[in-house]
Amino acid sequence: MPKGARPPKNRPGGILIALEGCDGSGKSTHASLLLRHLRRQGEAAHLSRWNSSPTVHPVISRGKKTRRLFSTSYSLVHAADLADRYEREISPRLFLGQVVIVDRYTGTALARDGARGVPRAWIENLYSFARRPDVTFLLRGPVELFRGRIRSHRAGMAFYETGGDLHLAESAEEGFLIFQRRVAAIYDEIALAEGWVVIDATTSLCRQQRLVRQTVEAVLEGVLTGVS
Amino acid sequence: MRGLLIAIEGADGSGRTEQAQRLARWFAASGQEHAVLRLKGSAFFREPLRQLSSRLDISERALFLLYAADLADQLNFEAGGALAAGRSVIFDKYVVTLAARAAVRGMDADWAGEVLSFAPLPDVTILLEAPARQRVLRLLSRRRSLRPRETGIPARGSEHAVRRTIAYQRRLAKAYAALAPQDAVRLPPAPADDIEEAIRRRVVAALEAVGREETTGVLRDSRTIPR
Repeated sequence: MPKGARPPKNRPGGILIALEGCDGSGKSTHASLLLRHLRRQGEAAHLSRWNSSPTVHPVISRGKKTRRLFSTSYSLVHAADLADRYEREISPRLFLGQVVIVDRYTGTALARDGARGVPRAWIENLYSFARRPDVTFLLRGPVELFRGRIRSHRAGMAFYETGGDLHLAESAEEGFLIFQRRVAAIYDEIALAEGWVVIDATTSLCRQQRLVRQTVEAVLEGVLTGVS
Repeated sequence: MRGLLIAIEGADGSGRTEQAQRLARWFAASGQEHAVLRLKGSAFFREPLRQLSSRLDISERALFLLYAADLADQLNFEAGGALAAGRSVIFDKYVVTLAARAAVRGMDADWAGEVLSFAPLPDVTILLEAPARQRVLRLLSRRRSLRPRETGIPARGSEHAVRRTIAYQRRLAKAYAALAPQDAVRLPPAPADDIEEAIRRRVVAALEAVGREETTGVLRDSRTIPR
């Protein structure tokens, strides 16, 4: 708990907030901004990022580098990463009533593994150990915009985010667009079915973050229930 | 003729590896093409799993899923090609071993079965059974000591872990309360500023007392445990 923070309120099950969206859609930026905001408000909030388990992450990282992972193993190692974080990092905090922000969650697996042709029912069972978030945000926008952002931030595109294992296109750039469009289509479908809060990622960052904060405040006050 | 998919299963120390090798020798002697694959044996997952399987700072579910990934990897890159080329594949431990471990380590059996449904059903499954005492002796004959997971560390559900932690922390605090000297300043939870203030007040009082002692010449041995 950060210095000076109030102990978590008596909230059985805590509050779980998920951020979803394509690569380059701004999830991590919003997660960091929201975390800082909640802590300033005196909430003992915690942020857990996708693929960050100290024991599992090194395996995934090497699997991506060597391009050894294929659809099923790609899906399983990511589930292993969340399983480890869920049990050791996320669930204990929720149990004690804390706010936990997850930068990518089960929706990511449904969208990305689904785009690799892994059956939806199998993925749903795989992740059935993880509870539903109290609210899920989807950062939505044209994948061309996200590609531009990634281009300006890093040297090249990662093999798997361009769907490189699926041999979709000649160039990584083209592969990114094809693969991320598939991911985005599944995201849209889940967002509609699950009542996610959709954020227009083409508007200003400030405006997007304001909407995120307003929604989270409503969830914390118990006004908003049943979104996602 | 297509090859067979053969699974040799059995609990720890039941002799799976030995029987898989004996079967492989028979295949070789009779001139039949075959391959032996073993769980935790893929070129990619072997090393990380060897390390993680003896560590306790990874969740049981995560470890199970990494084993499943190892199996998927071997089926995709090795077994598939061998079977298609008409060779038989002998698996030293297959899905029953993974599912059984999941079941005794706190996971739902149906969940684990569904996760493992990517693996094709074997043509032949062998289950080696032996009394636990005999199996444990066999494990100890192979190495100096047992591995943590062979000894059955408790299934550590997440809420279970927090409840246990809280219970332990209560016992610990009771021990502190009993062992602290009677004149210890006991401060209940409060904002850090208030606690700092209370500590400072007590220290100032102590400093003043020492000052008085020095002027009056009465010294108190600081090492004396107060009654």
